[in-house]
Amino acid sequence: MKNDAIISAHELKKYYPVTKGTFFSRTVGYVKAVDSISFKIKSGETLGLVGESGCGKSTTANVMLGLESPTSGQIMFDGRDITRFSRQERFDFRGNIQAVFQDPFRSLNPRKKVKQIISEPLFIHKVSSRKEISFRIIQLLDLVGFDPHQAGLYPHEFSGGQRQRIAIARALALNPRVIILDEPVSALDVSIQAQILNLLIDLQERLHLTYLIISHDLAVVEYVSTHIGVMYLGHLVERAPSEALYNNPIHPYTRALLDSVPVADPEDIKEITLEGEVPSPLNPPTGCAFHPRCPLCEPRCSKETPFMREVAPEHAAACHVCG
Amino acid sequence: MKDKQLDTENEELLVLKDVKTSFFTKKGVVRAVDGVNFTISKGEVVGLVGESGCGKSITSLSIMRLVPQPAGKIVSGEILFKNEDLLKKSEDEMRRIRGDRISMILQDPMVSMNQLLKVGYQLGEPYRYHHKVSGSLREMCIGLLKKVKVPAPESRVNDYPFQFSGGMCQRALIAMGIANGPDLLIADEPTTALDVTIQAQILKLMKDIQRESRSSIILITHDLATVAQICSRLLVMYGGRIIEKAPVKTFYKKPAHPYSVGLIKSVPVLGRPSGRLYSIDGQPPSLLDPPSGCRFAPRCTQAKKPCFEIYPPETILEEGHKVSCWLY
Repeated sequence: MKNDAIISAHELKKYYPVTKGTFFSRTVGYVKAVDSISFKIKSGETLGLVGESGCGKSTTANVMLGLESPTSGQIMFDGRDITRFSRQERFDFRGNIQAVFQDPFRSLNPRKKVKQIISEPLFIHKVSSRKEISFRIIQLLDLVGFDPHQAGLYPHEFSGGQRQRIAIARALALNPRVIILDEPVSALDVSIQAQILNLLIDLQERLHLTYLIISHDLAVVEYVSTHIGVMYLGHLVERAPSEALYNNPIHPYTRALLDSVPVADPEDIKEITLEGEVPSPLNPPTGCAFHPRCPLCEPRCSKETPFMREVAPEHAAACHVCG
Repeated sequence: MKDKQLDTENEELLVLKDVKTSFFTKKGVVRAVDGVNFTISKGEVVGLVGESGCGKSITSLSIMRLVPQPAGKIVSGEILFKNEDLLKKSEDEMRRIRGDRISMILQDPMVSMNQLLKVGYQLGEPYRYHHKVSGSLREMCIGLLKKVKVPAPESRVNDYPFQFSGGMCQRALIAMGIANGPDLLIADEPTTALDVTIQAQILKLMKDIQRESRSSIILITHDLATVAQICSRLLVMYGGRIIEKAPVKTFYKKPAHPYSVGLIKSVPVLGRPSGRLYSIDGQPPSLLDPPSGCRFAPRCTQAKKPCFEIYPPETILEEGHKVSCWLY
């Protein structure tokens, strides 16, 4: 296989130990938040990770950002494994991958002015002189659609959508090649959400960025992504180009997820296709994690864990029955 | 200004007449609800849609007379519930209505419950408050949990809220809301905190319960899709006022107000070929000293001179479809 991916994850695992006892604590089990997921993103493309809460999508984002170290597995960026970096190497590397988080009300320091927030990465990484920095601030503000005179304001003077723009400008400060966006629009109103999504697409075209977008909203992910990965209980169950995923979903969970998205059309009333709830990751089902809720469950689904199989170019699903 | 009902047999359960609720702050008066009129008939499911800060939650709190004191105050208007003005009731009388005739389901299920009391006890609370009870309510609570389809209700009744998942907590809250068979159920963003597959289940549950009990529901949400799934009529709110009222089917086919049109267009839809998403430029207005004209005018692409000066009156487009816009 050609290795033209800018960033990729191989068999990435993140387990959190569950301990019992206060003084002589011992590990009684693991929460497998992310269990052996692999994916790659090519330069200029967007991978969207979708799934319900607790499926491990945010943990994946944190591991990719280096905020958490993986239990095992590799993250390759330009042919280098970033999980094995030393402190200094990691520091030097940080500018390549930047993040935008969900809640713009909490991710911006309320006591700093916009220009301080945006220029903080520049000062930390000592990339330019003071004069250049003030020029760069104006440039960044312009990129996200602000006037230069707004640089002296505080975050509370902006609405949610504008704050998310500030967060995006900060993420762009170091000219990153990859931006990881964890639920970038879920805290925003519909009319503002569309503005931010359009901005993200424009920036991607102008600056040739690569995105990893984490969201629970399938419609949002489908709109911005070139590829989509569907997660369930720590596993990646399906991975495909967005159109293929929508037109030809393989995994029963993907189908159920697509079916349960409510549609703004009163003539198209949805019937529920999925009963029950996501099981606890502390005590996941044996075999395929989805089998207790799966309408197509067969005896072997509860025994053997399915592996990702390719059903079409770039389209893979982990299911015994389908595909 | 009464709404003409589509179904004339339906009697009016709740009528809001020119309700104004303001918050008196140091910076000035925030007119959160600024002259809202609408009618809810018996057994009707109505969606109240709007973005954050448009006054939809304050409208519901005004109906419950639970506007945060002392900053907030219902300044004027009438809220007629079964032909009696709720604003003229004493606090005692109000307490007898809340949780009995009108009940409310709030957005965040995990926060709405007391973590220190068993779910069973909390389920019985509204009933115990409004009725004389001597024995145990266990059987009734189990029945309620069964109604909202919580699995294994006999043992679940003894659980604490933290042992419930988000979806189950929301089910329990719905059970609490319907415990006394209310005439009106106000659901404030009931599915926003939930995952899509769970959301679909909860919406279905609400629909079933409504069909069974014939109570009216006001569904407050920012999500147009949720409304399309269960409501028969919807009210669009913007900047403290209702700008469009329409039956759901008419609304999605022929939205009239430019804001409604923009709102429908700006939602990404699964499977629609991507391109640029339509977006409404600008920000929602501040309700502190709102402009005298149409609140949407600064963001509207079709705004003309009168839009900025005089607030447009309600125009009837067809039976049940009304819009406040100078274009019509």
